[in-house]
This record gives sequence, C-alpha cells and structure tokens, in this order.
Amino acid sequence: MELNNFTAIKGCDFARRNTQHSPMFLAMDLGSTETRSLVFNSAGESQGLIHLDSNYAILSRGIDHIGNPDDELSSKLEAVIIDRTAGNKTEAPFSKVHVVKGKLRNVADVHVVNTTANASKIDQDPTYINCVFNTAYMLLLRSAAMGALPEATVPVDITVSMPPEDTISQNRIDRFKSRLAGQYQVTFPRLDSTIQFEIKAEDITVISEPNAVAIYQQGTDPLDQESAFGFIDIGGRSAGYSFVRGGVLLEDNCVTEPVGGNTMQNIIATLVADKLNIHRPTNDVVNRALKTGNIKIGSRMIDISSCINAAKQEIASTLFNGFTTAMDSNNLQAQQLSKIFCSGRSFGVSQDEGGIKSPSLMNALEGMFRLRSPYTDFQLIDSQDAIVTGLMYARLCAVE
Amino acid sequence: MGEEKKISISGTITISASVFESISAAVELMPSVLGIYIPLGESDAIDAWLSEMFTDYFRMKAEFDPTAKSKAAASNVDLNETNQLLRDILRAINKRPVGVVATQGMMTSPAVTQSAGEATTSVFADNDTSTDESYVSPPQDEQPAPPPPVDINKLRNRVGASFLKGK
Repeated sequence: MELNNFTAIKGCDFARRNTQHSPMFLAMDLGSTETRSLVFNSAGESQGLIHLDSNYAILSRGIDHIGNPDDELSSKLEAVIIDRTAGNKTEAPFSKVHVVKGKLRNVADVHVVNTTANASKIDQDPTYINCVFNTAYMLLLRSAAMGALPEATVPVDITVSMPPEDTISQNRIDRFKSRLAGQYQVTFPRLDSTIQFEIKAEDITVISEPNAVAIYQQGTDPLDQESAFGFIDIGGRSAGYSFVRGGVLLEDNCVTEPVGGNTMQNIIATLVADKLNIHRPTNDVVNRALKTGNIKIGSRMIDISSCINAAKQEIASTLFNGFTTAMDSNNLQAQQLSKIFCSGRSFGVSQDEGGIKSPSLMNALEGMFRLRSPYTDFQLIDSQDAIVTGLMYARLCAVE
Repeated sequence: MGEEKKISISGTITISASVFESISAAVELMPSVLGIYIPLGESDAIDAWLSEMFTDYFRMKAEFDPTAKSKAAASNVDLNETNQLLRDILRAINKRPVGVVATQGMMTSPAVTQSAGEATTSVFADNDTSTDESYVSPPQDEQPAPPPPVDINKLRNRVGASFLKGK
C-alpha cells in the first residue's frame, strides 16, 4: 500500500466501505509552516509521507461557488471537522470547524490562521485543528489506497513533535493529550467522503523536536558512544537544542528560542526597508531573495546580501547564546562536543540554488562556535523529514 | 581587436578575444554567481568591453538583417537585447543558466532609479512572477518518498532503552 500513489487514490470509489481497517500509526511533525505526516505500520514499513501547509482558514460561509483550482487532491481540501467528545472535555479546542487548506484556501478570499511563537503550541487551538485535519487527510489517503473507506471508527496511534518548552513538563504533555484525545468525524465535501477516527490519550506520544532529530540520527547512523553531540533544530518560528553524551540522549534545554526562519525573514525585511528607504518587502519576496541574494524592487534587481548576512549573524548569535546556555545546564563544555548537527530548512538556505553571496546560517553559527571549540564539527542534516522519521523510530521502538 | 572567438548560442555569435576573456574572467571569479549586475556607464572598463561586444554583435546582426541596429546604435543599446545577449553568452561560457542584470547609470536607491525614469530589464524576472504571500504545500508529484523500511531489531538496538534512558 502506498499513500503517495495519487493515481490509484484518484480512482478510488469513496462510496465503498469495508471493515478491514487496522489501527493507523501516524507520526506528525507539526511545523509552523508545514506539517509532515507519516503513516507506518508496526513492522517498520512507512506507507506514505505527505507535506501539507500548516496554514488554514476557518470558513464562516460556504465556498461552493469556488471551483477546485485543479484536479489534485490537495486542491480539494475543504473539511468539516466535528469533535464528538468536545462536550466531555474541560478545554476542548473546538467542537465543529469548517476548514479549508492548500490551493483551495489560496483561491478563496479567506483569512489565514497561523501558529505563533508568542504562545506555546499546546496553548494554541490551531495546533489541534491542524493535527486533526492532517490525521483525517492521511486516513483518507490510506483508505483510498486500500480501495475503500472505513465502515467503523478507526483507532489512531499518533506520535507528534513539540518544541522543548512543551515537552519538558509532564503536566503540559498531559494537557495536550487531554485536549487532543477524542472521537472525530471529518467530512470532505469536495471528495464526497466522511471518515471517523478515535485518538485515545494513551495512544498519543509527544517528543521534542530536537530529540526527534537526535533519534533520527541515531537510528540512521549511530553516534559514537565515546563522544558528545549537539543537535540544533530550527523551525519557522522557534528553535530547540538537544544533546547526546556517551550514547545517552540528555534532557532538553527547557527554553525554546523564539527565533526561526520567519524571524530571519522579518529581520531581513526591516533591514532592506531601512537600507533602500522602501516599504518592508513581503515574506514571499524575501524568500526568493534568500536564494539569490537579490531582491526585485519595482523594475530593479538589487543586491541585498549585506542585509541577509546581517540577519543571519543576528539569528546565529541568538542560537549561539541559547545553545551555550543549554550546554551549561547539561554540564557540557564546548570542546566536549565532537559534532553539532543542524536541522531545519533555515540552516542551509542560500545554498539551495547554488548562490554564494551569503554563507548559510549554519556557517555563521559554526564561525562563532569555532572560537570556543575549534575542533567541533558541524553537519547539516539534509533531510527535511528528520523529525517525522525520528518520531516513527521512537514509536516503533516502543511498540510491543 | 585581436583574435576572434566564436561561441555557439542559438546560431553563432562572434565576439573579440578581449571581450571573451573579460567575461570568462568574471565567470571564473564568481563561478556560482547566479546574477551579475552590470551598471552601464559606471565604469570605463566595463563600458569598453560592452561596447566592443555590441559593436561586434550589431555589426554581425546588420550583415544579416538590414533593419537591425547599426554599429552606431551600439552606443545606445537596447537593454532588453543587452540582457538577452549577456545571458546567452554567459550561459554558453558557463554551461549553465545564469542571471544578468544590465541597467543604465548608477543604481544607488529606488528614488534615484525612479527619478531617472530609465528603461531597465531583468532576466531574473523569468522566475519571479509569483505574488503569493503564503506557503502552499508541494504538488502531488513533488511529495517526498517515504523513508525506507526499518529493521525493527536493528533500530531497537540503536534507539533502545539505553539511548533514551536520559529522557
């Protein structure tokens, strides 16, 4: 069964029902920008990996008059989500929401909801809506790949990643579980399908993002047991640290740095506006500039590599300070670390398209760290799916 | 003008050896540069090789197309044509796509740019059409492949209780 086989899925008769649906194991990296969901089975076979934008819009009116942008499944992502157990919860994030995502959201004139770094993910309702939506989407894909939708409610076992600040306290993890656990009914009107699934609190596993990266690395290419290693994971809106020493994953630093790729975009936008005496460029424009070092203003293409470098230095400086504090709290010296692994798109940006006008964020951080420990190596983790794969590894190791 | 070099673009363009060397040197100095900003009128040296190149280019073009710009028009070059020509030449030399921006006069700030009211083009605009603000997930055919199957026993040996005991 292959969820990513969209041709087969398109041909699925969603009216067909059967009872042959086993529990679904799901790993989910709930990023601020993109959510990566991975379906796997207890035998260690991954069945499908989907990247879907985390942004969504809640509809208060019908959008039936808007046609599908194209024939892709991700262009028909309108869903009505009902939490049948909302009445039993003390802090239900929602009871019924009408949500639209993907290209369809783009063509509809609707207000987009994002997660923010100003509050913990556990405290934000978008985290739950996103999680439930993506669970439903993955279950729908799995069902289509199996040739029929489930007749009954499907149990879902889910492993999700959170920033370290959300995983350091068992109370907060329990709160997340109590808010997410429930019985859900999700209808995709543009796909003529309704599915039902249940997530029990005991079937929810929460792992910090940098720990998931460390588990991914250990599972993929085992770390030397005699050495110590650092892990820095940077996302769209926050970053976190983790360490492995003597073959043991240490505690996280409890502080999540509120800096990420979006912070870098904002700094660059401000610097460019100041330098060129213009309005702040949009994130989209800045994103493209990050690949080339140039920004298109009006009819002109202007080199803004100095602004990009300055922003990277600022972010690297924040990460460096946070990381050294985290080392202190784990009783580690800089020179003890033989290697620091960096994961997250922002670390490698500027090298994506071969541009050399601005060194990567990892290079900037490496330059700072070298002053403390000249013999510590830095390595970029290339995979964008390190976290979600690490989550799967962690869950597989716990499956009895 | 020295020995002539021929580089194949769409057809053949003849440029002088010095122009070829200048461009080659620039490409060699910046092997990964995607964009080269060439401010016309900013530097005598750049002007010299540009005008030399355009002289050749327009001479050649005039020979085949009587309506094309003459050699004399090279001093007032068409920027669209300039950009296209530079891009083609650099691509041919460098064997890969490059971006080129040729503009007239100094570009110090947008205010200067606007008041000058100059005609400017940019080949970067080729891939620069999106105005979308928000991120949208990749299309179906660009979705990543799932990770390969895992040997559970091997995985448990690597990421077992001893690895996670510090948690």
